[in-house]
Amino acid sequence: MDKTSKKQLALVIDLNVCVGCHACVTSCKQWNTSGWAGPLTDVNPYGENPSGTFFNRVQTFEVGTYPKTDLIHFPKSCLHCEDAPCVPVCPTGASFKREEDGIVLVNYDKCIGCKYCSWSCPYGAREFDEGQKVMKKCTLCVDRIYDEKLPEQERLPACVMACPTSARVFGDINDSDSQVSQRIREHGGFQLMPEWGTKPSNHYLPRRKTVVTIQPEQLVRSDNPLKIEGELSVPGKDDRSLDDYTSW
Amino acid sequence: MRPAFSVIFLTTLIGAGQGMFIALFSGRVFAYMTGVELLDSNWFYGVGSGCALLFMGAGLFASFFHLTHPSRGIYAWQRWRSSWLSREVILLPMVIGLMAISAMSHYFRWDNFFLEFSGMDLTWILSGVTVLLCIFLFIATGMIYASVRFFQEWASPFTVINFLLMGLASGYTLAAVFAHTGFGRGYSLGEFLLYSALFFTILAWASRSWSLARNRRIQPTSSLQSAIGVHHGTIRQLTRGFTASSFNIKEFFHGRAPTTIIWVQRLFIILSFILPFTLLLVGSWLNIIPVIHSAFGVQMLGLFLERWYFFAQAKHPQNLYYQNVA
Repeated sequence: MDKTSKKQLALVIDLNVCVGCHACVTSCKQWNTSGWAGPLTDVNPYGENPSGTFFNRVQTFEVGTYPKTDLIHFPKSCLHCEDAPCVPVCPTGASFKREEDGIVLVNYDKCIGCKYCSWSCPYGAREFDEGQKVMKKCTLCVDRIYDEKLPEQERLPACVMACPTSARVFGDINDSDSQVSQRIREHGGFQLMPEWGTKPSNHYLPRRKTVVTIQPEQLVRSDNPLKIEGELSVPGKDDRSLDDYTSW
Repeated sequence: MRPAFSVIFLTTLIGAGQGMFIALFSGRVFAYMTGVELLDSNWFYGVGSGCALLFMGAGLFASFFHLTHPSRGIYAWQRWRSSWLSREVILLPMVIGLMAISAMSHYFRWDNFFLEFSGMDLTWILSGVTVLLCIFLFIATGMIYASVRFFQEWASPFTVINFLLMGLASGYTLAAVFAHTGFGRGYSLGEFLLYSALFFTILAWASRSWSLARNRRIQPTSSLQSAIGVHHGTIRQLTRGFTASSFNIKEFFHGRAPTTIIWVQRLFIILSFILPFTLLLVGSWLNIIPVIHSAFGVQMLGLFLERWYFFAQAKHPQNLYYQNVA
């Protein structure tokens, strides 16, 4: 198997249907703080200057100038880059990319907390956990997707399960028949900051506007062949119509 | 970028330590070639190397405060093939160990051990190897920053050159100060070290100013357009998605006013380069030893500020995602 055809799990996020509800944010936090990757520590959650660890955020951008604006809700998590710049810089080998499915993970027991990997990620996908004092990041719910105790249809990342508009699709982007590959191919999937050559595995689908062009002719039926030939005239406004001659 | 004091002290202190060791070695080469005699060369090089070692130790001590799990540092050599940080972690204890042995070799007069093949005594071999490793360590420390291509201010050969030149400048200044104390034992090398300190201070000033000019011209590689993949001229963030704080905000923003950054820049140019240069020159012309001594303290203070500025001015592309609270 050559390198390009290796399995690479990823998310495809459709910006056209994301409504910015933050369901993926909260379900991610809930699943991951309770499980293998947790806890995702919150410092001072109810006090002054709260701060917390999240694997997933939804941001909102305004495009254009009012009133000609468009609102973009933008979910952001680790992109599991194919050429992940955060991995080789880790001095201890705590950061690694799995051979078998391309997920980028952190071995918490080896992390020394130098934060060098976060400097080497242009997307700001890594967050330092103040509780365990180690670097944490999205695991693509590696503890869900292979869990045979879960029903098969639930072996998906928590964010994908939670999305009410199905804006998030999960799968292998190197399998050309997968749903994610199809979406990328057919809906103009793109990568974030391609200029750095990190080859992010997560792809985004752009906003798509549905525009219908209607010509005036289509409204008045000026192409009515009977009218053109003059066989029938357009009845006047006050002329009696068929309803005036018949009764049901 | 938020400047971390642990890294500021680590890089400046080990820079001065390595620089001083290189300065003493070059002084020894100079003395050997010109026939200058020292009053007690073993004491001078031994205690001088010990002094450099103190700075290395202080830097190492500061580095532990940067790590949240320093005890796991024993794993940190493992990625030496790809990580400059890993290479520094390997080199730093090697330099410290060799510097300690080298200092002892002088102090305890191991110079009667000759190596047959080279005809040089052990102290030459030990300090020569240590100097070589010091230079590698300068490169590794600089490359930790220069290799992070996302910080465009750092991703340049200037980072390594500046670390080396500023380390040598402060090291030679420290060695010159040491030569002007030491109860007269190093006086005969005082002039050589002092003029070398002047030379490296000027060189570091030129190189740092050049890199400042380069950094002023940087065009950011990434934009909000490429960050979210929307190709429109006008994009602004309405919310970063949360109102609380997070690691991304604490680590990558210095949180200071732009005027503070400008003042720190002006101040470090004066304190690292202009003032120590003047103090060394005036002190040596008028032969006022305390003036020469003060040059090192002033220069270190300046270099702390320089390193603070080095971190503060670096802009990370992730900041594009964190521009507005709500």
